[in-house]
Amino acid sequence: MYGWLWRSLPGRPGPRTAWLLLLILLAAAVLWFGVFPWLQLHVPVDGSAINS
Amino acid sequence: MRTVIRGLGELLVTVGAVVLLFVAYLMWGTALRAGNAQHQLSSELNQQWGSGTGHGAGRVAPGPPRADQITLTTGQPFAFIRIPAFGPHWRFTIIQGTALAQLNVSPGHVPGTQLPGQVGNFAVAGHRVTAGNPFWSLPSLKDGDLVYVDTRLNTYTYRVTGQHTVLPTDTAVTDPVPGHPGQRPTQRLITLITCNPAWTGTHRVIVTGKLVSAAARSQAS
Repeated sequence: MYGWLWRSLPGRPGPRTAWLLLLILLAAAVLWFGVFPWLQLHVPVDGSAINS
Repeated sequence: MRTVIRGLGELLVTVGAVVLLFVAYLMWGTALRAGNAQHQLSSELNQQWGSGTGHGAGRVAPGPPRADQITLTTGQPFAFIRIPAFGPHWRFTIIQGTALAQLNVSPGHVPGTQLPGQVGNFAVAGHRVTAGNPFWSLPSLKDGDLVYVDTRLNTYTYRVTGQHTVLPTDTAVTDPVPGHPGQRPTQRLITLITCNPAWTGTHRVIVTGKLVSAAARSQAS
């Protein structure tokens, strides 16, 4: 998967690394701002919630 | 076979990285979100009360308490809670509701329990970890510690009277007379609830207190 991704990125190793970092940051941002807030509503990490 | 093992390895590395990022989010991301939400909720409440930015919190004007008219809307703030034992600047809003959606931004009033100052049991639940760890230090409260609840018109002072640990299924702690469902209440109580141990849902810490005074709130508190 990562090998295929690396080979698919355009340019020489320098620009490829920059592209890779950009993709990693993009994936992290989607997780941080989209997936994790949603997940937090469904994963009770400390059991303080009282659903009456 | 080699491709499968390599693919599995890459998948495990990816899952590990995502889990680590999620832990980081729980520890710091939720605190940032809750901090922003607290700022917004506090501003909202102060604006509703017309009392500025809350400087001088803690000063209470002498005088009898006035009749509070609190409208409860899920997710909306209606009071502040202050516990000096947690630090001079420790203050959170209390919003209506105790589902995860509410506790992720603020301690919440347990629906169906009494309101501040009323005869019966005013129950508030909060996260011990995540969302700014509002009730992190709850188990350290001792008998005699004070808990202040500021509403639009009044400041209610409760004195801590006890602490115990229960199972999450033990909802009798929020009864008007805790542990005695159906009994007519005569005292004005507060019950603070959080999880125990931290990061688990196996038990809950229950801190109880009694109202010791109620006074009209100064515009500055």
